[in-house]
Amino acid sequence: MLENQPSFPEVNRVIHEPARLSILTVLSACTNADFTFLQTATGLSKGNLSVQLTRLEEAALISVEKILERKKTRTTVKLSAEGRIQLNEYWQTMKRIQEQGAPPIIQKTTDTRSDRA
Amino acid sequence: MDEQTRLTYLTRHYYELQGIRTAPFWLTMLAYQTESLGVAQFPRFYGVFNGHVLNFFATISWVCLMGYFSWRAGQYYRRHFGSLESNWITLPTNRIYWSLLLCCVALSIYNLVFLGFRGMLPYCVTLVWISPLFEAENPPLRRFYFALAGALVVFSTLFIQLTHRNNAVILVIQCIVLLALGIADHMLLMSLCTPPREDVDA
Repeated sequence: MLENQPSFPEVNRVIHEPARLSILTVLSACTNADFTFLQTATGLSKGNLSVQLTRLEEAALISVEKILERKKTRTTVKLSAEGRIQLNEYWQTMKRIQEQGAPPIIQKTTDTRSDRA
Repeated sequence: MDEQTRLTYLTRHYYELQGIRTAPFWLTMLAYQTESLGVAQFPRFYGVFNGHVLNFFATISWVCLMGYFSWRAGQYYRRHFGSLESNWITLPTNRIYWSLLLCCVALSIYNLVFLGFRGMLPYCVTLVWISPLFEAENPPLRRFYFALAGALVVFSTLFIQLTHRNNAVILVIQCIVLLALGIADHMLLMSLCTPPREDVDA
């Protein structure tokens, strides 16, 4: 039965996570953005955004720069060349998956009244 | 508007949507125009100082004050919404728009040089600032309020010119409309920003 299922291409798990994908989408549309803007655009909390940025930096998809401005640290984030390639590849993979067709959705019965009966 | 489109649009048009930045400029223009209409009057101390010198310094101080307010507005955006660097220049790609603008500019120059008539200039200015209407990337709401504002200015200008009323009213209407558009753009920016969410796995 599984032989009949279409084989979907591998998706980059680092990029596939919604919060990280939002960050990369923002960065792909500009040269660089600061921490506040990323927070405003994505709606993530400071801690969460910081964790996601660390993960993306570890995967070499972005580069984080900290500048000292009037005794305050300003964090600017830039999409790396590798990140841009990976993001383009990700969208191409998603497009291929879409073209191949989505797997059938298994419907769950949520009628509680029939369960009680 | 899906998430990816929203984020891309917000990032590319971030500075364009900062409508409050230009508000002091339109307020300045509005103040000067309302004075020429006799609605408001700036204090003048003729006899005490030379009227022209005082006017010059009043203008300079007013410009400085409005520049300061504009700078403060920029700081507000930077502090509350953040900042970014972008290489995107958003010019409309619509051929109809460019043809319309070219015709309008040519007609304005012809009227100005050969007939000494300046009446076409407001239409050119309006066409320049309604350019977001011709950008397909803009959300329908933004295109709608730019279309509405453009129509309002064009028809009121036409009415004023046909009824030979005070031409300063045209500038007053333009300033009020541009001020309103700035506020509308600011509100659009606020609506495009995602409210804080805590449901995402770290």
